Amino acid sequence: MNAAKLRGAKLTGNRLRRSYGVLSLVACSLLIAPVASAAVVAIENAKVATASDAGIIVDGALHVRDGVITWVGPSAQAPALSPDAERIDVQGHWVTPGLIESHTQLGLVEINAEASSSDVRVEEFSMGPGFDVRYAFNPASVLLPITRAAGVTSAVVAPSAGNDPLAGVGVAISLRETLDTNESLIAADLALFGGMGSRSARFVGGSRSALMVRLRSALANAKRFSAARYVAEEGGYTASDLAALKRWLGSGAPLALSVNQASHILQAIKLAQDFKFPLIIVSGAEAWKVAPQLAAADVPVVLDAMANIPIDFDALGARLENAALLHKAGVRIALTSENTHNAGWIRQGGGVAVANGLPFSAALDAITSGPAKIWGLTDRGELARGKVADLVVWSGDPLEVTTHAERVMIDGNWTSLETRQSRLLERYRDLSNKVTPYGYR
Amino acid sequence: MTRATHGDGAQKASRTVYRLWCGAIACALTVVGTAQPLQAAPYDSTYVQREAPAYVIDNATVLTGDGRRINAAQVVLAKGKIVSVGAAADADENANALPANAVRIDGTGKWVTPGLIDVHSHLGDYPAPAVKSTADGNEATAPNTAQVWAEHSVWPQDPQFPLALAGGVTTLQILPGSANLFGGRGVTLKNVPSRTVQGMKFPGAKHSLKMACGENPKRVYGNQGKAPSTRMGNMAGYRAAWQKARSYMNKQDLAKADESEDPPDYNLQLETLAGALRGEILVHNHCYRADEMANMIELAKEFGYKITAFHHAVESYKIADLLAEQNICSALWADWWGFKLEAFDAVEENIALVDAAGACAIVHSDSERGIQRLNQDAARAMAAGQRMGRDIDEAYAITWVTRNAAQALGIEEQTGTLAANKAADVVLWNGNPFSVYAQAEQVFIDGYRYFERDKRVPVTDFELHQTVQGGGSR
Repeated sequence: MNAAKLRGAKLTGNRLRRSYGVLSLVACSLLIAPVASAAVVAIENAKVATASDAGIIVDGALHVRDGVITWVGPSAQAPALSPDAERIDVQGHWVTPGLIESHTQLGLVEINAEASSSDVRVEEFSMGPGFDVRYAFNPASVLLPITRAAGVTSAVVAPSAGNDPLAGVGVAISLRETLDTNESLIAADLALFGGMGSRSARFVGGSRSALMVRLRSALANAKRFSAARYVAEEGGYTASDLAALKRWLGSGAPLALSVNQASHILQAIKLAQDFKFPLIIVSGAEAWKVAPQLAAADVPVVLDAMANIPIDFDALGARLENAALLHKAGVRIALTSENTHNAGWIRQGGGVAVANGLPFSAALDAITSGPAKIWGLTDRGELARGKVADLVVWSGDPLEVTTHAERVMIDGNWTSLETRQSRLLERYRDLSNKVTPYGYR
Repeated sequence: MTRATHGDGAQKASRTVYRLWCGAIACALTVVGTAQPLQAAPYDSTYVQREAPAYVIDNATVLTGDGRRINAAQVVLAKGKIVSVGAAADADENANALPANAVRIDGTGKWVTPGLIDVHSHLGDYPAPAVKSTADGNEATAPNTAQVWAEHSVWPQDPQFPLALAGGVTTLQILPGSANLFGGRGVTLKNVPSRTVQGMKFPGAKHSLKMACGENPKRVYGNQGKAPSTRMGNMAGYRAAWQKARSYMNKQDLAKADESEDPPDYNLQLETLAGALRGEILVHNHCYRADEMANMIELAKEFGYKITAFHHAVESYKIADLLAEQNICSALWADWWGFKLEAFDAVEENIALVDAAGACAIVHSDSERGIQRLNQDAARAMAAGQRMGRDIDEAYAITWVTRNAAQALGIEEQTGTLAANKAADVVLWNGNPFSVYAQAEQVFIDGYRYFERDKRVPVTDFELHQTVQGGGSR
């Protein structure tokens, strides 16, 4: 099956055409997103990891104008700059595309344990595929500056499992500075999210078989759905859930399904083939066991490279070589930290994957161009001409735990790296100051 | 005997045995029994140091765990102890003194550190698979369960133990969870495969008392409509318990001094608290907020006990001077935050700031994932310190997961640094352990090689006949 490829081609046309209301707002917001002034910003003397076919350019440079990358290449071949260009010598440091976190609840939650600060899931109310996180996304979340300072410039924002195997619709966002949710969105209707874990099975009585029956009948019903002829059935989906499911099926957007057990992954592949939708496996602890089948069906895997605990009976085959084995088999991968507050951990995940056999360039791709392609965010994820100028200058090897983001550019603008945490540090770094009360520092 | 709780064995149990059972366990929550335990140190360690050849590691970069770095060093292990650690020049002089038949290991390009120590783990108590039947870490049925012992929940076949070993962890403290004001006793284990938890217990290590501040106790009991439901309720709960423990201890002391005085009825809960008051049990206190830590310090003064370490303590940096003055360790994450409000004010520089103030800083995990990468968390904390201008390096930062951790467990005489006559708890890394790419290649505990990556790794019973086995290959 190459539904995922199919979808890539359809992305700009089909998906946007078939969307209504808010989506057209999103399309507009792309046009009004803040951009840099017309002057060129030149990043020079850089070790440029392009995350594209151009690979790593050791003595490279990169030019940006109007929020877009206009040139990337070896310093010696750089085109002449006009006198008003802003030239920045990064002293041989690494420059990578802004990182893309493939599975977060950014902007949906401030404090996990405080329900009042969380919009990640629907509980105690019947809503499945009709749930859409886009309305709750908060661009002013305390987490966003912290995540930005960690070098993450775009993220997938997904609903968490609430009370249905299908959790709802997720979006992709830019971490650009704005107060308007619509300006944050880079793709609405990104994917339908769901799960086949034991928790998801509990929503439908406790068995994975029941879950599969439910999914298959829901998809069949959704195809035939008509609001005028809708008859509610006990335990069935509401009209709005079915309408959402029908809209998603027609959109070409993928189902991102959290699955760990190898046999369940194969079931998911079959489901996607039967109903002709693109599939993305999320989590995929045992994906390495069915890597050839995933590769043959071109089903990508979004995984946490540090997940090696046999945390339940679905994940007995969890191992640190998962990313490396999938990559070797030709499966497309993207990494997630599975930790919204510490989304920057995807760098460490990349490093750990390398230590366990994944080539360095593949690890870098798995947090930049890999997710961009998997999620259809084709305007970003690479340092290449025409791509959105989201990039990071690192103090050293971008996958190392001892390095940090020195500069972060989004849409061609250098963003502030000040965070609530950096303010706390300033306030408390000198406890010997007995003159100024802490509240005034 | 436990069947008695279900009734089917109770009639058969002799009266005496039943009373003992009642006094020892079942009645501890409310009633006290009169029977004293028959053994002075029940559940004592049965750990046996294994026979092993002598090992000589040559030409490695050594971080000693006491702040020093020795390049091109030789490390000699024999009979469970470190024989010598020194520069190559000294090694040549010592060549004749090397143990006969020693196994030589070429350490070229490799690094050697003391075995890592995690002061905050729930391995065995919250094992994998994390299913309902294995959730044995929180006796969340009463706010004071000082009578429970974490070691009695430890499942030695937890496959997470070998994973931690693959991360270079040789010693770990297993603590009860933080649902309760007094969670119970913690235990220090050697990370060795064993059929019983007694076979893992670190000989001579003191028990700890796990206490918890803040959100967890007040949430767990407040939700049940019980005390504590507020932070002031937490404080009242601690004070009432310590008051009772003081009077218990005083009665015991009186009876010891004067034969005509009766000792108090033996009480497992008060035994733990009195042990802490006497300094025989180390107080490890889960506490996030600076103001609450200050309250706990006052509490310790009020009742006369010592806080060994605050755990999690994301706000230690706000009162690092106070912690230094009180000689209290902070066991910390490098950068976890935000999962609850009391973890909102985390800064990545916490460890470096605490350390800079002269207080004892420790990197801990409280995580089955984090325990596999304590070295990487120490690296992150070191880098954060360097960013804020501190002149610290690997040799310095490794103390946060070795020597300082050993101090907080009261085992610094035995382990935590590479020095002659200390336990041969040693990790050979395939590179700089402060790099994300480094892996533990060999791990020694008391001189026995328990882990050799891709060659010989322990496999728990649980993992047998599964597709993935053993810490090294996961």
